[in-house]
Amino acid sequence: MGMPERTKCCTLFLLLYTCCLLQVHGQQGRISISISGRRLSLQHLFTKIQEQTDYYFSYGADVNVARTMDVDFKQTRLSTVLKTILGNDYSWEFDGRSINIRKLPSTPIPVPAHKPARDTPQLIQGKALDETVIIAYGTTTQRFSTGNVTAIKGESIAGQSGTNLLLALQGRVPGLLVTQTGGIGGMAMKVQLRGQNSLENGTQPLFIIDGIPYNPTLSGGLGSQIWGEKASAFNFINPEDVESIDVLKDADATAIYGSRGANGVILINTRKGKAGKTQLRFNIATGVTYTGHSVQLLNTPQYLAMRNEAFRNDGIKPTDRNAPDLLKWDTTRYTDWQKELIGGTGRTISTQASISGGSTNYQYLLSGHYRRESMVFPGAFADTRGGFHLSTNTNSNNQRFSVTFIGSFLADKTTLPGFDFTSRIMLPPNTPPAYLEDGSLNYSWLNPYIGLVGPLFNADVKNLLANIGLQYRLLPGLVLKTNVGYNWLTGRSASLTPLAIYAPAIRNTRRGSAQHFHYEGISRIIEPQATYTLDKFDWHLQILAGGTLQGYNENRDALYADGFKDDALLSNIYYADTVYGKTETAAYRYVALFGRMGINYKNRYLLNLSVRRDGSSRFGPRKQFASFGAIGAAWIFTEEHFAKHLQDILSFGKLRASYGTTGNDQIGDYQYLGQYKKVDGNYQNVTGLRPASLFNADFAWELTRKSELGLDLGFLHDKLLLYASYYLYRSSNQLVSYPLPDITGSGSIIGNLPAVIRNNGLELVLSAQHIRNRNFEWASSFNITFGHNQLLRYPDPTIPMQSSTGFVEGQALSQLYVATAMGVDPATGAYQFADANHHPVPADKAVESKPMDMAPVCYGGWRNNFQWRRFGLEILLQFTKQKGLNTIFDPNYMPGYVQNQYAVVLSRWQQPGDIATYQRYTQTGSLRNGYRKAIESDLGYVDASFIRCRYVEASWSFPVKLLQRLHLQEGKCYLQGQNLLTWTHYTGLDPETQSKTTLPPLRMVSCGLKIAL
Amino acid sequence: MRGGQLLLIGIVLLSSCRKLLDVGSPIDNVTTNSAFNSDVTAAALMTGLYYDMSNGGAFMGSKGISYLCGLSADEFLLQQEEELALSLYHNQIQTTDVPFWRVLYQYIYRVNATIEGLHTATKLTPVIRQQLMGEAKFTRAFCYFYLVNLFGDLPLVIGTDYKINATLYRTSASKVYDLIMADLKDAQELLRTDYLQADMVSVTSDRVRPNKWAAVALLARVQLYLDNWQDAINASTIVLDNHDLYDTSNISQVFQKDSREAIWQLQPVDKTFTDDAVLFIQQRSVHISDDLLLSFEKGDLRRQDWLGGINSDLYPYKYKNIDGTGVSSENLVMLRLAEQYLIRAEARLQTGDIDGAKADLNVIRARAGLRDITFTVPDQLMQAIQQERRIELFAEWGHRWLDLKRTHHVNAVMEGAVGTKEGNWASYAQWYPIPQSEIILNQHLFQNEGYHD
Repeated sequence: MGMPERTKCCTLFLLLYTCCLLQVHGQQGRISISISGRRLSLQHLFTKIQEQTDYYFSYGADVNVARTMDVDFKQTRLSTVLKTILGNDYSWEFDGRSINIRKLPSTPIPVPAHKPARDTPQLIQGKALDETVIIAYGTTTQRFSTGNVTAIKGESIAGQSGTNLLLALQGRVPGLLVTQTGGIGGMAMKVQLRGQNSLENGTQPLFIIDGIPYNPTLSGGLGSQIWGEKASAFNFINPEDVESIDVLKDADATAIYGSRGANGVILINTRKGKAGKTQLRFNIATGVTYTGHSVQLLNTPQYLAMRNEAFRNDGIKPTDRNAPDLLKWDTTRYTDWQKELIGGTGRTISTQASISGGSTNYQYLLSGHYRRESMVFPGAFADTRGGFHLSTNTNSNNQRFSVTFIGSFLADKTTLPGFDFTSRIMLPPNTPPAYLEDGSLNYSWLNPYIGLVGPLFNADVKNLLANIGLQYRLLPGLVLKTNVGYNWLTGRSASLTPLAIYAPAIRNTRRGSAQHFHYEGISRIIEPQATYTLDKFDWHLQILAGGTLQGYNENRDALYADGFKDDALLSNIYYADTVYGKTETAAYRYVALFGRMGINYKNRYLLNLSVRRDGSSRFGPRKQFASFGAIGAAWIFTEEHFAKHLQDILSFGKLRASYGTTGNDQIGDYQYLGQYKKVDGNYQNVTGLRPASLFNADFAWELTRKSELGLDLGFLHDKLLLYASYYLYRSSNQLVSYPLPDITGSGSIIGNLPAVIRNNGLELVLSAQHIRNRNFEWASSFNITFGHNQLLRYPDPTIPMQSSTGFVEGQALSQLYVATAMGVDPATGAYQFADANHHPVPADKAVESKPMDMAPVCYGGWRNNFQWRRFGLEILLQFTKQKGLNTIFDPNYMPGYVQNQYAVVLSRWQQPGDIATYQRYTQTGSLRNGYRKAIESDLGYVDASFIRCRYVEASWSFPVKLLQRLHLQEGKCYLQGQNLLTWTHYTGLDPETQSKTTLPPLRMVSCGLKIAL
Repeated sequence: MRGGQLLLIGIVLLSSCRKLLDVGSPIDNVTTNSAFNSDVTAAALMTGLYYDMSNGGAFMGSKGISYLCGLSADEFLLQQEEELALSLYHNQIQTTDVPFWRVLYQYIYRVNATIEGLHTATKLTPVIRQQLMGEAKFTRAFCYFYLVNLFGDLPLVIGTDYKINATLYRTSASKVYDLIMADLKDAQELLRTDYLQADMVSVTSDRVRPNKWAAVALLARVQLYLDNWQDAINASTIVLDNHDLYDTSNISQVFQKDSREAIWQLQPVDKTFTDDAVLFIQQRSVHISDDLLLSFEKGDLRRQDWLGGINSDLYPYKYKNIDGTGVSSENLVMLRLAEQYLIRAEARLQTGDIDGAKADLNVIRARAGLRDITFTVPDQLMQAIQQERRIELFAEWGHRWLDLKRTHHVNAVMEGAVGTKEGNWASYAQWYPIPQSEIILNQHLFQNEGYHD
């Protein structure tokens, strides 16, 4: 971890954020408010007003939000309400959407000379500290939070996501690494929070959408080779419906999720209606996508020279059989396969419309969306989706009872080719034409365009999310709640392989085939809760108790149909000669009781205790129930007397610490059961059974103990905020398949091993929320994470490490030992490697002793918002420092084979005495051992660090006059860009995906219009 | 009051928690519990075991007892270079490559799981449950019989809890025999007298599932090995007297599928021939040793029918069918009647019933076209019985190897035999070693004398 780098970054940004001025044209809302109740705290009233208006409150610690009062507002104007509840003790100002509140001096003091004029009010507190952040079963603010929570809000969620919501998290959350595996919507996303906590099991955070646990993977990917086994289910959520994403990290925030919380929790909340005038909003956008980066490959002369040289090197004469490219194909042709296959332009069009509004007792939001996105591949492959989102909230007249309903539905239709065309960009450049002169497909070679005929994948996916929340305020301070949630994600697909993929001459000897997949995942949850809030003197107490009843079922059916004689009948299984299929299911049940107590004394000392006792169907009968808990504490030291005179510089300071236990239950279903499976054949005409796994009554969760220390500082009246967190996770009780003596009847069992993994790291966030003058505003936020992972203890050396990578005690889980390449042998032109004495030796004698770790050293993002008059600009840079796979090498094709190569292979060995980087060209397998070893040596890994301009949005808001003329409330047109630029030394297609065969994340440019009526 | 209600809800929640967590069974596989809820799946556990026994494993072919124990003894001249075979042939088994142990203990786990499941099963048809219990106990005894004879003292696994099993100590051979006896006596009571189909109800002529007579036949062998002469006589007599089912066959038909001599067979699975036929006939992995060849008396029909090849390079030819088409004509014989005659002959001799012993011996000799034995000196007669066992049972189930061991002739015979086998004989080699990995993974196990890890 580079300490100097960190210091540099900090200094740089401190410098950047020194300018600050602000102004606002206060526009007082004439919105009416309805709240009534006895002994309501000021904080509660603020929350209610926030719910009913577009405003949020911003206030300092000197505002006694615990103060209670009896109120009865019915359609009362906001200004009147504020006057009533704030009395003579506080003053308030409207600042955009913010209502800034400050305490009036109890005795009038002379106004200081430098007191700013009224039109440039000085902010008392930064908003970022006091914006609501959503935590487990409640809300808090950054100011009073004892745990580590990062909240993401706003419209950029949709802009940055494209079709996959998880993309909105890239570069935004310290400690969270979101990695795309490819540039096609639906491909797997790797989401890892604060490192790998498990040796062999899942490390995905727990995702919760509006209270409903959401399975992030559509397992099996409906059989699509492109989507893969772990297709992302977040491809089927409409990002525009999402209001906020909150990432919960430390024990204080996650222990209440018990055995599901070890890998962090990500809470997603969708948009809700607000009381007020009925508002119609439209957002229409259209754009293009294209591959942003291409690799330099050999052209035809270079390619042919390579092939000829390979034959010369091997001393073999090219023949029709071994060199069709040299002898049968036209050697003057040149096809740029990158351009042909992934150089197209995809088009996107999306529209979103919503209507919202309501009264005190009823608020609603109804929105609908449609999006169509075509691909950069040849052919008419596209993704089309549409859906709606409905949110309603109903209150009883006395405001004691409320019902909320949130529902959304999305239908998606995707057509994809049977394979990723990117995997064919390395075709020789002089291949025969794809189409014959008569326009028909050329079947005489392995023409990638045959992929346009088949296999063709088309899928229909539907996603339904519904949540009902009931809330009843029984007594002052005591609220009873129940949430009932349901998610149904289902998909159907067909992959059709028609006879047309075969040359007409042989079609009558072939048969068409079809594969049909059906997927269904159902998640349900009921969570009754009770909260009690008590404010007495300087004490603010909040108690939460509740229970969880959760279930998840998954069904996957596959049908394989073969023997179709006519392509027209392909989609009807009835016409197949043979059909066989299989069904797979998974089921999960979870039940828990939980509680939390938060104590706030004088807004200065904060203590938070949380506990959960839960049981899961994934654990063996002897370990079915477990208890988890955490303690978090914070001290806002700027509230102390000694810090008062520092107020002007250090306006906010909080020291926080938390410790607790969480579990990882991503260990598969039914794993503890003793199971039998069918033997492979018949005995006495019956298929018998044989044991597949041993029963393990002690099969249990993996345990992660999380400790965290945090320091949150606000400078210059909170215009500059610095959040620093250090975390230390120790994960034990690792589930590993370990060997048993043969006398147990089984070679191994998956059991909990007391191996210990440590993840520690430092996260820094530096943000400035308000840097503005009359015409110009600049807000910015920078985050960086340094993570470190280590296998602390692996207790039993006799238990072989099962993972293909092999773990080493004392090293990072991601670390491998690889051979050290020592260039190319000047005598033979073959790769050579270091032996134990660092002498060059051939591959079979190489020593694999060089550590190689592909986990990122550090990563983060820098987000900037500029506003100049009506022009807005948002830029998000994302960066990662890491090592990655060197895609120059292709394990199947050495330079010299019938396959194109990166142009760098030109610096190869040619004759004895040459000192070269790459081995001699060859078209036999004689150098294969050395080549394979080179891939597994340090040559196979290169620097894959990158800085990417992840998201840019430039916008222009309509002036008031134009709005009036058009009878609009709001109007804005914008230009958005994704992945516009990537700075990297990486040689392959993309440093994030590090793949030679999958489509890299695409560059996207779109323009759009947002209006509100 | 509300608090009380909440508490009540909490208590109700907690008490029903286990039920709430019940997700049933996965449909892709059968779980240990659900397997015993239906006759079909319960029966499939044993059927699956026979399938696996008949599909490689320890009972046939190049990993089989017949072949490998034959190599350990003086029956064969090895004709190939496979490492495991060589190590047995040279009586120098590597502790890193020990045959039989893993496979037999896997079988034992499976029957243990079946026995445990049957004990608690409530939904099975009683007769099926009884038959399965009998088959399982018989199979356990069969496996332990070979383990105890090959390895000596054994970890005695009778349950399925891996935590207990993984730390077992070795139990003395006599205790292992106690279990074998108990299992066989149980099996004798439990098993039906008929041969059954896989549905465990219908009767069939195929002898490919063990029945009561199989249990008694194995019991006779065990009693003989334990010198319980009278018990051995009693048991073998029960089988030999069952003329409805059993009779000696013509030499050429002993190993046929429909042989009347077979007491228990395994049918070939997924193929139409036995692995032993392929091993001996097609792969020609061994020639029979000169010593064995010279032991055949003149005119012995078995020399012509059970040996293949020409002149001196003769190989076992008991199983003859290697035809990959049609229906299998041969099954692998697990237990057969001829052995029962020889068991009774030996036991009768030991009890002084010389005439009875001669009579039994002469049944076998007559069938082989040989003259009756007439001499009456017990030592000579015993020698004749052992000689007959050697010829009748060669290349079958390691009979020669186990006979040498139990009659304490192993050192004398093997010292003479190692010369042609190009090996060295040491007395400890009569016991196979415990696999090294077992001793690493279970510190309670110790190695057999003479072997170094």
